Amino acid sequence: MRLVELRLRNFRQHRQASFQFAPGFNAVVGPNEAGKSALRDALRVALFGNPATTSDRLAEGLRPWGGDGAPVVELVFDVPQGRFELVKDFGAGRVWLRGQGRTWDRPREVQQALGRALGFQSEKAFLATAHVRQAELDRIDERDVAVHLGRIVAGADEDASRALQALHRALQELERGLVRPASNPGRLVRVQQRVQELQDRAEELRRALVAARDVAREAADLRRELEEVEADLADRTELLELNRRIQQVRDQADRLRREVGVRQELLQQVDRLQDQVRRARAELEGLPEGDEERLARVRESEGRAHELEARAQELETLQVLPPAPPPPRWWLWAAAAVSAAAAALLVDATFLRVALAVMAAALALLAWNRWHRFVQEGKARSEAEARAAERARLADQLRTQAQELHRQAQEELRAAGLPSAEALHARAARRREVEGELRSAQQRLQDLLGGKDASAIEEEMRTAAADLHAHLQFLESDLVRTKALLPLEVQRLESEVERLLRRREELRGDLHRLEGQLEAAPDAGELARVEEELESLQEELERLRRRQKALRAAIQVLEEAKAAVEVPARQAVEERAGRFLDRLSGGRYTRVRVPPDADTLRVEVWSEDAGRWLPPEEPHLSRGTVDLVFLAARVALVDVLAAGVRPPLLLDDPFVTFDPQRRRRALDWLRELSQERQVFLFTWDEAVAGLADAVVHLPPPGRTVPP
Amino acid sequence: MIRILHVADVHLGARFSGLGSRGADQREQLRRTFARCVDLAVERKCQVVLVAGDLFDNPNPPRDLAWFASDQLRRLVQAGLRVFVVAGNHDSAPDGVWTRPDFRSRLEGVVVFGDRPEAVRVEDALCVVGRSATPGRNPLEGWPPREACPTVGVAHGPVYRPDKVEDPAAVRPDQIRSLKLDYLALGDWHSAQQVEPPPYLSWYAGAPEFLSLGQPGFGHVLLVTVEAPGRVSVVPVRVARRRYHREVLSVEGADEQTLRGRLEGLADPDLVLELVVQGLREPDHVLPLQNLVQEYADRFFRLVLRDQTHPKLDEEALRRFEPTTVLGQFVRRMQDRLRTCPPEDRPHLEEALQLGVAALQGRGVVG
Repeated sequence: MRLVELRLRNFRQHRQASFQFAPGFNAVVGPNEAGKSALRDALRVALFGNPATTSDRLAEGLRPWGGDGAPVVELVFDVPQGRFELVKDFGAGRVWLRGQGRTWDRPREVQQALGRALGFQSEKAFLATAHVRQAELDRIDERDVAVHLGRIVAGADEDASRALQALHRALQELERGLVRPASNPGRLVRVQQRVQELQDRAEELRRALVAARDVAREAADLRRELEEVEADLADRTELLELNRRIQQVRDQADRLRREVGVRQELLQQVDRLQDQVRRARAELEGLPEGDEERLARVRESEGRAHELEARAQELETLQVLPPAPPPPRWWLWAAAAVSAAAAALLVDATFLRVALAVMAAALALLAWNRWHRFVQEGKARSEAEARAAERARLADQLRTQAQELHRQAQEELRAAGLPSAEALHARAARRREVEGELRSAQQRLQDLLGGKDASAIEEEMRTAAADLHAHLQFLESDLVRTKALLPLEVQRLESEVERLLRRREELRGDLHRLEGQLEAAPDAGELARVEEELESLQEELERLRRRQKALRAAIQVLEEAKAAVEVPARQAVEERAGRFLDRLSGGRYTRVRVPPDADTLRVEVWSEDAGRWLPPEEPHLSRGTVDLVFLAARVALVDVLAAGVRPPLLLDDPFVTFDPQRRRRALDWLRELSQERQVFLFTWDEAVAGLADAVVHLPPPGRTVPP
Repeated sequence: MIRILHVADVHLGARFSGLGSRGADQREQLRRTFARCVDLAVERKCQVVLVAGDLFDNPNPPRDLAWFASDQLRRLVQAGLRVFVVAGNHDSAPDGVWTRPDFRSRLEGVVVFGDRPEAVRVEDALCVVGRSATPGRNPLEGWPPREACPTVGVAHGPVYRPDKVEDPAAVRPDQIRSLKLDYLALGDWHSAQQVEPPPYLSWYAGAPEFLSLGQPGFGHVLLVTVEAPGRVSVVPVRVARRRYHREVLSVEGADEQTLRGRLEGLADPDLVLELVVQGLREPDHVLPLQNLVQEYADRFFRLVLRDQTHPKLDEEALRRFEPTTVLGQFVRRMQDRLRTCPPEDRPHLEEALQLGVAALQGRGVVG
């Protein structure tokens, strides 16, 4: 691409200007603020500016200060296909490209055509390579050379290696703790762990809630059963109470019936007793008093008389002598003893003589005894006869006294008007009997009445009878007739009620336990909270995993892209930059290399003096040499990146750090470069004008370039 | 004239998808909103309240929630209102809350319709027919013929709509007309809307409070006035505290500044805002949505920013990346991968493209 002419209207300080360019080396010469930068910007705007999308603010920056016209930039250029004329009107926002008998006015098409002609589609890449500003070389730190070259190759603001490092760091940060445990794990691990925790918690809560639901269901069943049991219990208890009451009423009725009977009996007894009392009293009227004493006297007299008579009888009985005793026959025993003694004398046998002697002695003793007794009995018999006579006299005396007593008794009986003591006895006994009966009747009457009178008892009886009637009415009611149970049935009912009471207590206990469990059960709201947090975190986790995959993919593709671009870039730097450097340094430095293991375009220069490869850094190399290396490498890269098309080089005084000799060599080199491409050098140095194929002189500020 | 409050789909105890840590707050809000509906029925001197299903989000709500609901319903009964409830598809189950004796014992004076249609008269002035939802069964099947007095129905289920709702158990519009009810109170759909015009008027009350992202139209109860048979009017009354707004922005207009401006303008602590950015963006255009969510989250009840953009990978977009540079190579290689990858790999490869471009452009690791 060769720029032929640039026409400006209302562009910064150029209200109306036209600049013609030569095919080779063009020098734009002028003092500071003469509009060199404006011209360079005008070229940039002509090549890349789009009037259709340039904002008003940006367009405003292009206008002359205080001017009111809209900037218009026109560029005439040649390409192998022919000459083209470009117009960009920032007031109308229009663009035209004319050439080969055609006109293009769609900004997109125009821009594509320009990009193809220039070898650079993007402004950024063009600025990074073919557009070398003084400030860049001025400010560049030698250590940044590699980075700058890297950026050029990256076609971006960042060296691909640094971009990769940033991506790697982000990935490491994200994945920290994923493979090996880390004390401060990355977000991915943290979120994963939290998700796991929440999932566990949610599962636990779900289980607990299912369990609680079962418990609630069980509790509901129990509550239902409890209600049934309570209703049943109430019915049965009521029936039981009724039957108990019936039983009580029956018992009371029985009692009342008995009471009434007892009262009736009592009243009859009272009547009877009162009758008895009356009769006893009437009988007592006919029975005189004192019979008892009289009878006692009669009995005493009679008794004494009988006693005396008995004594006389006894005495008379004792007068009878005992019968004479039988004769004692004592002589028989004496004769026997003599006989025995005689025999003993007669017998000569010793033994027999002794025996007979002994017998004789015994018999003699016996005979004596009999005789003595006979004498004694005779004496006693005479004494007894004397005593008998005395007794007979005494007996007569007693019989006389007895007759007197009998007479006294007869007199008493006569006084009583009764024939015999038996009759008197009978009459006295009868009185005693009647008195006893009266006392007994009176006592019993007193006991029966118990301090009350009969009318009160009668009243009590009537009351009891009325109560009894009421009780009987209840017992005969429909309720009792339909609900009354047999005793066996009541017994069964009682045991049923007991069973229900036990069941009720069991159910209450179970319910209490279940309600306790339900109290302790988790809230469903907590599960919802956990699930909501889980949902958010799962989204976050998904985002982080996508980020992880994205970082890996970005790293992989970026590495591929970097390798694809850096290999030709490395070759270009080594070949062309070496050649340029040789030219620029006057043969002092001829070889440049880019170590293949370096992750960026780290350039090294062969130094004959040092005998080794040196990095382009002070103090190994001078500042000027470092700039030379950078310029050479950069121009070498332009050809790589422009892919064979040779775009014009715009150089804004890049030789400020060069000594005069190097400066001349640099200018010579530019002249050489300008053989095969257009070169624009913006400088204040009038001396350059002599070397250029065309010179644009910019007047000092305040003057305008003639049209 | 009879005034009726028609409420449905309260979904007490609901679990919220997409609300994250705010779910618990919103669950609490559902209670407050339901209490507000009860207040409203009393304030507006309604005589009848119809709860058209899904009062609970599930058939086994926790006891304290069930007790809360029964307390609210009792509050209506104590104020002299007649309350009619049907169970919805979410809260009906054979052993669910509506059949639990301990819960039912707390609902004295509240008519809870079972799974068979039933008609209840309100002092000769109104007849209410209802039936709880049963899975797979048309809720309007087997209803008794309407009576001479004004008659309203209450049921829960979807209404048939060609190509949209084709559930065989869905209520058919002709079915509604054939019942000749003066008003049919429906529940199931979460936005308030009329289903059938007069004379056989039928409405969904919709959910009275925010339930889910992507469901606008919630937040109402209906005040139904029955003047005479055939003369019924419906006025939706807003009761929700939360609002929900979903906005789709095109990525061309959605740079960070625009997004910030939009967020500043919409900021409201009761708003659930779902902002979706769609369209094709330049490969190096990064939407800082994560940062914005973090920065603005506390100015909304819930802020959801969704990036549904895809990188432009046409020639024009690629032109900005010189093919001979690493950046250009990277973009083209990513483009190749995106073109040939299975769909499930697309999201992470798109993100990789963004990450790589931003890293090369010196913006570090973005997003």
